Amino acid sequence: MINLISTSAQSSFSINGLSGLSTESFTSLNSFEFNNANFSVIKDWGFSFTYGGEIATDFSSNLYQITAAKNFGKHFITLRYSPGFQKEFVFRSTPVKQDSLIEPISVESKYSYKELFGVGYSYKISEQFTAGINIRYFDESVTEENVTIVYATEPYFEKVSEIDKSFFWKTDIGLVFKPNDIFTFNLGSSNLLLLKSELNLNENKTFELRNKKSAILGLNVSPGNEFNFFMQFETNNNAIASSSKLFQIYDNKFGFSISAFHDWQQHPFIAGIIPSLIFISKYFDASFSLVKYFSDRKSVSSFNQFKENGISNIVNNQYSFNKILLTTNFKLNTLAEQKVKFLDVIINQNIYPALAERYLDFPIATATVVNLTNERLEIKPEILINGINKNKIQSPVVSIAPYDTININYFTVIPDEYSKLNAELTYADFYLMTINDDYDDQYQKALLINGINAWDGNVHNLKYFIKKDLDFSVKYTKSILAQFKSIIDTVPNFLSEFYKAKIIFESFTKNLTYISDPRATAEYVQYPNQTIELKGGDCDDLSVCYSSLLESVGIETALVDYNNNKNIKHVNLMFNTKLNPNQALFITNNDSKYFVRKNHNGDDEVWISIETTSLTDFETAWTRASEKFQQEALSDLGLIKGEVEIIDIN
Amino acid sequence: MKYIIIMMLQITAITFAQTFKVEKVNGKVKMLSNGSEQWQDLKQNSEISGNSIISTDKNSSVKIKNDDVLFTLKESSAISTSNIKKMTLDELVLALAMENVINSPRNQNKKNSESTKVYGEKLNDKNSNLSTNNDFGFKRLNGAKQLSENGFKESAIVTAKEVYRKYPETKKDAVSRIYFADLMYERGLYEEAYDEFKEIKSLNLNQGQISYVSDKLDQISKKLIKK
Repeated sequence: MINLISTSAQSSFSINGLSGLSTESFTSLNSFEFNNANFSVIKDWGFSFTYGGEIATDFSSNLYQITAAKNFGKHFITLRYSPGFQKEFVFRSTPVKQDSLIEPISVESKYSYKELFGVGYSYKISEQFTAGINIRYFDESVTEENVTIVYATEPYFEKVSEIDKSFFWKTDIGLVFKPNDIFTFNLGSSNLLLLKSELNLNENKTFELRNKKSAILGLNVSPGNEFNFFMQFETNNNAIASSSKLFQIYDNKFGFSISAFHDWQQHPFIAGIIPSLIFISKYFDASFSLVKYFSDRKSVSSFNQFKENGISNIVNNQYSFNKILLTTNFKLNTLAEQKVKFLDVIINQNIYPALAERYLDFPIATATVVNLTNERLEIKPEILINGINKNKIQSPVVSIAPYDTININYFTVIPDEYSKLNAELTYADFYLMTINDDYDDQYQKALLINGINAWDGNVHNLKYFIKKDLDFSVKYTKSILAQFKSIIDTVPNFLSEFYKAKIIFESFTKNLTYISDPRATAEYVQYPNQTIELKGGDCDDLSVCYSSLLESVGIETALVDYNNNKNIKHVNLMFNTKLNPNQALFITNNDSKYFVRKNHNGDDEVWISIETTSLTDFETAWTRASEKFQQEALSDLGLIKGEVEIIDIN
Repeated sequence: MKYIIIMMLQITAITFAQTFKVEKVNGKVKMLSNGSEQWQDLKQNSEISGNSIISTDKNSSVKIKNDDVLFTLKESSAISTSNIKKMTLDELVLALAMENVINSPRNQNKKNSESTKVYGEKLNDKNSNLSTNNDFGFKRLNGAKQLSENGFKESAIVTAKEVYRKYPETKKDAVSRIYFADLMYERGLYEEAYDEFKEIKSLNLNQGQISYVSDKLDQISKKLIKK
């Protein structure tokens, strides 16, 4: 007769309270058994502890496992120390009376199995695929007691123990495929590779752990509403199915899970169930589980049966008792957690360095961004354009509601010193920052930076060419007006704008020539200093130059854009004489040569048009522009039809 | 903008688009042609180019014509030849809308700081208004009335609006204002006419004018309600 004695603690083959490759951290910790690919949802550090005990004749509890895991981007490493993953069987012989003079004695045989530690590694190949490996160290020993008779005054038995030890390393691999948020498939091995030292005695080899090779196939389904279903099948006829339901309460989750498993060595078909209560928070998880077997568990069993069947799993076998287990996980995130994410970035406009000021008001790009959290966030959008900016440029902070998707505008600053003449293709890095110093997401997109003289063809944007070179214009007009000081001093104050404009026009056009823009496709506009230096330009160059000169002495100007003909476009300008309509007589007898506009106070002011390409004299330039304006803007109703537009510079 | 040569040709074409010939001249009639600053006396058979301004003195008149039009400008009147044209009602509506746009204060959001420069006498205030300029404004208004009398009613309304803008004093002439407001009413522009009569009501009117304007406003109101 051999007695089976329950010794130390034992665990189930999946000691987690929550099985399955879900998005919960239970997946990534302490679970080589069902997660042999070492699949990770831990963002940085994770620690797990399981404490529990078997409900046998005597209840004893101890530490089952300690796990530490760390994520390094695409790499994930898990280390597990498992002092509770052990099983010991003791068989005691019946006392035999060998000699009437000696007291009978019984001897024991111990069969001990331990899984001491394991290490797992996985690599995230892509968002869909993760491949991993785990290596676990096992120790097994057989201790036999033998009896020797010691003949003395009174003979007695002396026990001598002989220990036969061996160890082995078990290596398994796994692959996880997660095509979307609902389905996760896993494929792995069981007992794929064994590196072992064998027990010395042949008769003991019968008691080694049975490491039958098999494949593992699993499917996890997370249809939403915090419901999860997991099913895993092993080709040696083991299976487990698990289902869980969680409830979101504020920032935490509470719920329950139930697993049922089938083991070919155990009866009935469903060998047992594992109901669990679960708590999950941002930094801490806990589960309280009961492992319940449906067959009777006896503390005494047949040696022959043990010898014949052996065990193949230390934590879950036909000799395991019901267990209660408390598992706690700690998640330590020293990394910035991604809270917002780019969905797309659209470049609204390529860069025209001349229009630098415009980019403060009009976004160069618009990003579609989603809030990944359940809290309202303040987002700092930042942009860095290669070749333009040395530091990131921050756009206005935007608030985004939980889980909402919004469009965010990116503005930029073009430094004054940017001076490249030719266009170049570069790229812009877009960033989303929340409260962290590090960015939550980054997006890169190609961008065309035009040369400093490039213009997008929009007459409204000529104002940037006018304003950018005001320093030059101030110096230039001062030098002109200084030459005509005696004339200006004799002019009544209310006519000074008109005469200054006339003097400046005649001085600056004296040496200029109209030169058609040779660039057929790309618009090219000269800055005022270039027009003066090159002694010529086309209509936009000359209008920009004259406008800049007038603005530099405080005379208000407006560009007049004639676009009534698709093929023939033209721009000239008008300026504010600051005269009221009753004073117009001082500058002209012909009332078709001026245009009355109201200023922001509602006062009427006399504006006159100037054809800057008419490089003869002021009167001719004025007359030609007036005729054109009178006909196309007023008589032909161009102003209301949108064929003629007056664009104020300020 | 690279087509200045073509543009110049276009300007030339515009210039000769509306030429007239003087049929008959009575008294003193003068002309400012094509943006010129010099008045020239008009004589029989003189050519008048487009965008010219014709002005008649007291007891003077001129009859001009081209292939389509025979137009008489009576005494103390002035008109731009570009205004002598047929307009459709739609064009009139567009032109009035354009006037509203032009008359809107520009840069409404702009609040420039006042200049701190002080030198010399501040001449550009109302004291420097010249009566001669306003006289010409009234001549222009008379010219606009004669456009109407010669059958160019739509063009007359637009011309009057232009005159009010260029010669603000003419806006105080209640008789003319009522005349052109009636023209609008007659052309079925009730909303525009209503706005015009409302403005006229704020002028210095005699009893008869007050009564007429009030009646007209009531009449237009009823029409607008019916619409």
